[in-house]
Amino acid sequence: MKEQDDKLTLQETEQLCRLYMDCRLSVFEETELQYILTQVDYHSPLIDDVRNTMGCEPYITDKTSIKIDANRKRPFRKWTVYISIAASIAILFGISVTFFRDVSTDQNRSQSYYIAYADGHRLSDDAAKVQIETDIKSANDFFREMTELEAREKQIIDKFTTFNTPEE
Amino acid sequence: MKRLLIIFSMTIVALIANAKAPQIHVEKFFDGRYNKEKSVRTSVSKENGRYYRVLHVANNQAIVEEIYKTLTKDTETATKFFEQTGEGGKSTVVKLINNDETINIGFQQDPTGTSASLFINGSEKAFK
Repeated sequence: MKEQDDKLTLQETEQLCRLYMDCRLSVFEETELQYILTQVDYHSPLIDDVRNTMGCEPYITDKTSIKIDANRKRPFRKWTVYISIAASIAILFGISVTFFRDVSTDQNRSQSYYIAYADGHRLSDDAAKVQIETDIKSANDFFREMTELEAREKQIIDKFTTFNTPEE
Repeated sequence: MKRLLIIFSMTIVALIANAKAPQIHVEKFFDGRYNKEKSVRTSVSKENGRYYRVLHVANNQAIVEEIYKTLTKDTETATKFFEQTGEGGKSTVVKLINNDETINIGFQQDPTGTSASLFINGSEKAFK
């Protein structure tokens, strides 16, 4: 930032004020702008507005007396805070839902169970057990057959690959 | 402040994604949606630390197609995929690894594509 003897022009100061109102300045740059506004005697609606927002007066020699209004009105920042709070609550809610769902799932998994539905209604325990035994057998048969089939297919591919590989 | 919030959010999302068991897309068909569907027969069981989920569809092409479409999503994260199409229909096997254990997903549909069976099994540890 320029020194005191190398003051900013009115246009440059206004540009900085515009950036401030758009919330595009860093905290450090805002502090510098605040200092500048106490050192220059420029006046325009925008500059005065920023001065009022920052709670500073022009030509304050005692820099320690500059006070920033803690409750200054900055609509953009206000909305950011609300959005941040909403986002935090949403995150916490998401974590708790995930956690409790996993806990309940784990509890369900800690015991044996047999549930079966057929023809649009739930089967009795005995009927369910019979259906499940049949289903488990079907599943095991299917996976065994597929494993054998895959092995056979692999063998054929291996043979084909070996057949086509030129001898060295 | 914004940066901190973004970093915090990303960390939480990463932790959740890391801690969560792999989502098996076809598992959704066992959430009770077909309990009153007469063309579908389902069974869900756990015994000796092993899970079985079996679903049979009879004469309902729409459901068969939906299951197969969902199964293709699981093939994207599969460690092994094998499919065979022949006169007897189409058979698909998808294997997923979680906690060093295998989750087997099998799908068998008849040549007409109107009837099918879906099998899911794996050890208890694989689903955690």
